[in-house]
Amino acid sequence: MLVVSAYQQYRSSSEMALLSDSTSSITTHLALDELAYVDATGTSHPYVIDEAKLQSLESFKQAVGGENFEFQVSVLYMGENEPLGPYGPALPKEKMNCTLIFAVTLFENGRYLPAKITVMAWRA
Amino acid sequence: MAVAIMFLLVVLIGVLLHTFMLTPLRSSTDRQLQLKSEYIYETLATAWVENYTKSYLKAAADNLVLENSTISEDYIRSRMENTLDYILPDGYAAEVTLTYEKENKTWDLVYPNVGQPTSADKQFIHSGSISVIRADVAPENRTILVQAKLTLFWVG
Repeated sequence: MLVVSAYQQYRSSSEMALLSDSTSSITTHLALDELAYVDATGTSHPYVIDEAKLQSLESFKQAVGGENFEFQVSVLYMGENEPLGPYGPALPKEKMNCTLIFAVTLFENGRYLPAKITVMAWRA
Repeated sequence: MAVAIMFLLVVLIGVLLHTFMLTPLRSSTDRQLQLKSEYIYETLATAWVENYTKSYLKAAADNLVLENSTISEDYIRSRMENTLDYILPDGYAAEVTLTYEKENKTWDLVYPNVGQPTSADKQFIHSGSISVIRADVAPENRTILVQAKLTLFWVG
């Protein structure tokens, strides 16, 4: 029984580690690429979230390591109590999920504001 | 006797499995914290100090190198502490260090004020460099690189 329980614990912790790493990967893809602010000269600013891109994000699915994940994203910036979002589908019932919060900068109305991006991901 | 030894072996294996099976999760948490330190560094390098159009690390680097920087040191420290309070994960502190080796100058801030991390603390470090332009020197020496480092560590 002890060995079976250890095996179940192993499965569970491996699944949580995979979900955590996949959520980190999704967040990095968003912050460095898909939502990154691009200025008038065409220069991309990684870690700077473009509010307009966030609001017009269309796909909330991403493959990580050959597995498909869905996610929800929101951004809260300093001095504001209400987050932008959440954007994306609602979490299906009884799905294991991982929520991560990372510091980012939000480009909003010509200013670069300290902010936090929250990404919740689960297996599609 | 043999049954007793086998029973003990099974118990021992079970206990060992329980102990080591959490390793992937701990490693994943460490990777996540390393990434968080990178994001905190980049936020301080890109977000503007309130009421100015300069990032936190740029303002601190100017303050370290220039004699007359536009933002006062007290103001930068107070705003950086405020921002770190907002972006740091619960239970963690950060040390921000800027070094200008040529003139042996250092700028340091630890928030919350718990003292510098010790070697016993698990640390997640991200570093880079910030450029400062000096107008009072020859053109070929105007661009100065200041080394910047952010250390994230657990305080409980």
